[in-house]
Formats: sequence, C-alpha cells, structure tokens
Amino acid sequence: MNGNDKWMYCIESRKGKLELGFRSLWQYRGLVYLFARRDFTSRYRQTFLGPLWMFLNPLLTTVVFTVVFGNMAKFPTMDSVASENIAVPAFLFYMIGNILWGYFANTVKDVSKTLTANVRIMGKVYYPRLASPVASAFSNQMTMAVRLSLFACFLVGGVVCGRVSVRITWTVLLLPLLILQLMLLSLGVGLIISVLTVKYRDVGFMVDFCLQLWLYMTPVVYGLRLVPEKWIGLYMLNPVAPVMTTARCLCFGGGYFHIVPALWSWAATLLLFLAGVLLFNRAEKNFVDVI
Amino acid sequence: MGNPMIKVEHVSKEYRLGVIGQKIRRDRADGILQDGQTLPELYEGRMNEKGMLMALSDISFEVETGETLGIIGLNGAGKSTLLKLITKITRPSAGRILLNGHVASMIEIGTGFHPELTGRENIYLNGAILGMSMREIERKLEDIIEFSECRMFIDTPVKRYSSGMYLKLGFAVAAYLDAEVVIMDEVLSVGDAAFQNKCIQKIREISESGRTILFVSHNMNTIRSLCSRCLVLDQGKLQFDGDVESAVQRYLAVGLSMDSARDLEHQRRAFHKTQNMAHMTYIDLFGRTVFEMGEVLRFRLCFRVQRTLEGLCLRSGVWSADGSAVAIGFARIADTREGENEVQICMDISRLLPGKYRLELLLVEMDDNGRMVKQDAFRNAAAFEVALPKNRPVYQACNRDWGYVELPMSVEQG
Repeated sequence: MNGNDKWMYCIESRKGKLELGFRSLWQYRGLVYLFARRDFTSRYRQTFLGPLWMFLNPLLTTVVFTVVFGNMAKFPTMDSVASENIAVPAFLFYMIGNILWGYFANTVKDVSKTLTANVRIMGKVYYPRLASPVASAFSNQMTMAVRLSLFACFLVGGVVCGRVSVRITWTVLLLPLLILQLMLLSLGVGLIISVLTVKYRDVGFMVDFCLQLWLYMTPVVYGLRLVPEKWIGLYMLNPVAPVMTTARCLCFGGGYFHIVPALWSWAATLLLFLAGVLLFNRAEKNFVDVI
Repeated sequence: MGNPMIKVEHVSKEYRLGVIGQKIRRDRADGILQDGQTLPELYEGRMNEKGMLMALSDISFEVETGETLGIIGLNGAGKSTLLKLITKITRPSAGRILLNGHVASMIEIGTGFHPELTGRENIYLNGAILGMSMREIERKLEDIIEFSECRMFIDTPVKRYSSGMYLKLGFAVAAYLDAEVVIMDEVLSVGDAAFQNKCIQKIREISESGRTILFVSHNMNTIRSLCSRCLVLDQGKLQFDGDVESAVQRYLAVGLSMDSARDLEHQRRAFHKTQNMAHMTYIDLFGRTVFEMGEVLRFRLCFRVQRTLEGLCLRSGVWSADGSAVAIGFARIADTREGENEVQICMDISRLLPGKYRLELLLVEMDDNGRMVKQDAFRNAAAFEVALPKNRPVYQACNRDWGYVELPMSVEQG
C-alpha cells in the first residue's frame, strides 16, 4: 500500500507550492460561463428599464463628463502633442474612455470582492476558486460589449452624417487586443487586492478611493495634451494610460501611440496578472479558515 | 483486500481562536477568553502549545471502493472539518489525504442557488459548481427535474420556491453526480417522509453502482440502514472504526458510564451556565447497574445549592441506549439547605423491557408562576441495564420493534 504513484490526488498541508491552476479552470469552463451569465442576467431582473440600463449608464456619465470636463473645465480632448489634424468630438472622446475605464474599474472592484462575497458557497463546495473572479471579468465584458456597440453606432453615425472628422480604419480591429489587456490587468490588480482583503478588510475600504485617484492619473476625462511633455515618460508608467490613448488612436484613426509605453504596459499587465493568480491560488487553500 | 479509494494519514487540523488580525495575548493559550472565564468543556484538553484549537488530531483511516462509511459524533467532534479536508475546501495542518477518484460533496443542499434565477438555470449552475460538465447536465436534466418533483415550477425563480421545494431541487442535482466519492453531510433532513424515503432509495442506488459514500448524520437509524462501516469521532479524535452497530453503541455511550457510583462534580454538563444555583456532585446506585424486570431503581444523589431553594425539583428521564426517549419521572425535593445536600430517589422502572438505558438528570427550580428554570443537567448521569427475569420467557424475543415499556394488561371475563 506504499508509494504515491497508485493515488490520483494527494491533499497535503504544504502551502508554498505555486500553481497557476489554469488546467482545472479549463475543466470548469462551463462553470465560468454560467457564473458570468448569472451575474450578467440577474443584474437587471426585476428592474423597470431592464437591460436599457446598460446603455443609460454610460450615456448619462458621458453627458456629465462632456459638460463638466469638456464644456466647463475645458480640458483638451486631444492626445497627440504633435500637430493635430483630427478633431475628435468631445462626446465620442469621453464615451470610449468612459466605457473602457468603467470596465477596468468595475472588474477590479468585483474581483477584489470575490473571496469575501462568495465565502458562504466556497466554504461548502470546492471548485477552482479562480472561476469566480474570471467569471466577473467576463460578465463585465459582456456589459462592455453592449456599450461598445452603442459607441460604434455613434461613431459610424457621426462619420456617415459627415459631422465628425475622424477616419475609421482597419486599426479598429485591434481593439480586442486592448480589451484582453485590460481584462488581464484588472484581474491581476483585483486578485492581489482580494488576497489582501482576506486578512485585512481595510484594504477593501481603500479600493474605491484608490480607483478614483487612478482615474485622475489616467487620460480618461482629459486628453494627453494636458500633461506637460517632460512628464509624459513618468505619466506613461501607469499601465492603463497607454491602453486609453492607444484605444482612442485605434478608434479615431490617429492620436498618440508609441511602442515603448505600449510594450511597457503589456509587460506590467502580464506581471501583475501572474502575480495575482499565484498569490490568489496560494491564499485560496486556507482562506475559508481565516475570513 | 479491495481497492482503496481514500486513505487518510495522520491528519490534524488546528484553528486559531479569537479575532484574527488583532493582537492575541501570547501568554494565554486561550486568547479570546476573559479573565476568570474557562473554555467550554467540549473543547477542554484540545488546545495545543501554540494556543490553537485542535479540531482534528491525528486521524488515520482507509476507505475501500464501494464502501458506505458512516461518520458520527457529537456536535463539535470534528465531522464537518474532516469532510472539509477531504473535499479540499481547506487544507490539513498536518498529515495527508490520498484519493483515488473525484470527490463530490453534498455538504449543504442548495448552496449556490441564485434566488433570481429559475429552477432550470439553477440546476445548470449548481451542477457546474458540483463539478458536472455542461453536456453531462444536459443529459441528466430531465431526470433531475423528475426527481425533484418541481416540474411545474421549473421556470420560476427559486426565490419564490417553498423551502421544501428548494431543498428537493438541491438534493436532486446532487443525487445525479457522477463522482467516484460522494460526501453527504446531514442531507436527509430534506423534505417530507415520502421524499426522504426516495432519497434513501437513491443513496442505496448510488452505493450499489459501486461508488464510495461518506455519510454524516445524527440519525442512527439512517446510519444503520445505509452504512456498512462507521467511524465515531469524539473531541477531534477517532474513537472507533468498525461495524455500524458497535459504532452506534459507542456513540450513544459517549460519556456514558456503567459504574454504579460516579463523581459528577467535574463531569461534562449538558448545558452551561456560569451561575447555577444547584450543582450535582455525586450519584450512587448502591452498587447495582443491572436490574431485573419488576425491580425499582434506587439511587443516592448529592448536590450543592447556593442558597435554600424552595421549589427545587428533580426531573429524571430514561433514554434507551439507541437514543429514544422512553419515560420521565418528576419529583419535588423538599428541604434543601445551603451547602451540601443528599437525597435518596426511588424510581419505578419495573415496567421497562430488557435492554440498556441511560438516566438523564435535571435539577430545575420552579418559581412561583410554575415556570421551570434549569439549574444543572446531565445527559448521561448513569446507565443501567434491565435484564430478563427467569419467569418471563415471553420477553426472550424482545427487540426494538416491541418498544420499551410493558403496559399492565389483564383479561376480564364475565
């Protein structure tokens, strides 16, 4: 009866081993899908306007942004510091930033709460814990997809009516790459926070505040032009900043894009994502006892 | 020797007491206790040197493929902790568990149901949580709906279900799991008697299909009817591992003594109260633990009272060894005085059928309004056996189905 080779699984106290756990996550892909669908569909049940909220939310915020930051504070809605030949209408400018930032911030918030929010079920059944945060990222992505289609309507409509002087080029097709990056980044950050929240709830209180601060450090409510040129290098260390400017560059056919910040942003994304997953998998094993 | 399915090797699990993240006084093993407070007796002797509570200590056992293993023990004995370790919900502090197949748990029926989703959507969700693939769920969907008896409401959000329907649906999903090891923790408290029978039938089916079942219950009769082997856990330790009947006896006898006299001063109490007015200290059955049918039970009881109690009463319950309440006696204790008291009790047990019984003793105080206030209680104050008298051969064949009490009966002719 000796030897471990006869046994399929071994449950041990060992804590130090680092695992990514992607394989078991793949086995439970059905669960990820169902979790994501549950979050997505149950959100608007028993509301009067229903899924309309998905559109209303970004529309209202965009209007507010346009009025407050565009018309009143008169922030520039241009990224490129060099000579500018494309005038992006403020409304579209704020809308795309708003949708992308909304996705990022909501995912970070949701993911950071997964362990605390699901403790009841996680204390009763075992499933790969990573399924919950990944599912929240996907369910937010579904919302974002709907919002992006609204944005596309405005963009195309504007171009067709000739009201807007932007060019729609093939680069728009690269947008999913940025969405993927945003997802990995928000998962990474969210997972790290969720691990910290298990032990110290204080971290949870900080999340909202930090995200607000992060928003102002990212070119969402203003164009990159507002940032003095000598600070651009430092400013672009924020991994979300290149994502925003690149996204606008892709959508409007021109703007700010440099390869170094983009690569740096990807590197930081992958690093944070891996760190988040590894930490999460380590904490997951005993968190039920601690939380 | 068959194929081992689960092997548990020297597994221990410790928990920290007190609020995590706040300073715990290292000099006191029991960080959460205020000065002068003592640890509930259930947990006494389960602290290790680091001040951690040992929920399980050094458990080892093996389960063969196809076995139905019962796990019994009092609340807090460590049953659920053991299951949580086997299902990977949390990791052991020491030792290891080896498995030869997938484990599926029905630890709490209906966990993970989302109130806003319909029954059908929840079957998918819950099935996936329990480890079924989408295709598997689709294949079994009809069976699950049929079993749950909820077909009419299957497209209604479960928040509108009655609690019975909710549990039935939950059990139905869990019943169709395909894992090699199925873990059930108190799952049979589900629904009405008819549905319970259906569940037992289903569990038998699962067991007959060659799968391994770990079954936790407080209902000895279910354990008897389903399990082929049984573990008894007591205070985090494995007390017994073997055939079901001995295990059940062992469980019922946890803390049960067959001594004719017993010091009660520091024994485990059935309830806790910091300031009880009366405290039982000693019981003496005058050297006897076996009585013949027709005899009466006499015992001497010593107790201490804080002050003279006018309405102190003794309630004495007789329980059968397999856990059923049989009868009760009640008497007022006159003339208590502050300090030590001693009384002699006579209880007519002459009508009890042969078998093993235990005595439950409660000191209660009746106030002026006739309200009872419990002062001290023992679940197992003493145990005794009623033996078959030589002149009553009719009770030779006496078994559980006969009940516990003989009623006086006579034939009147005329």
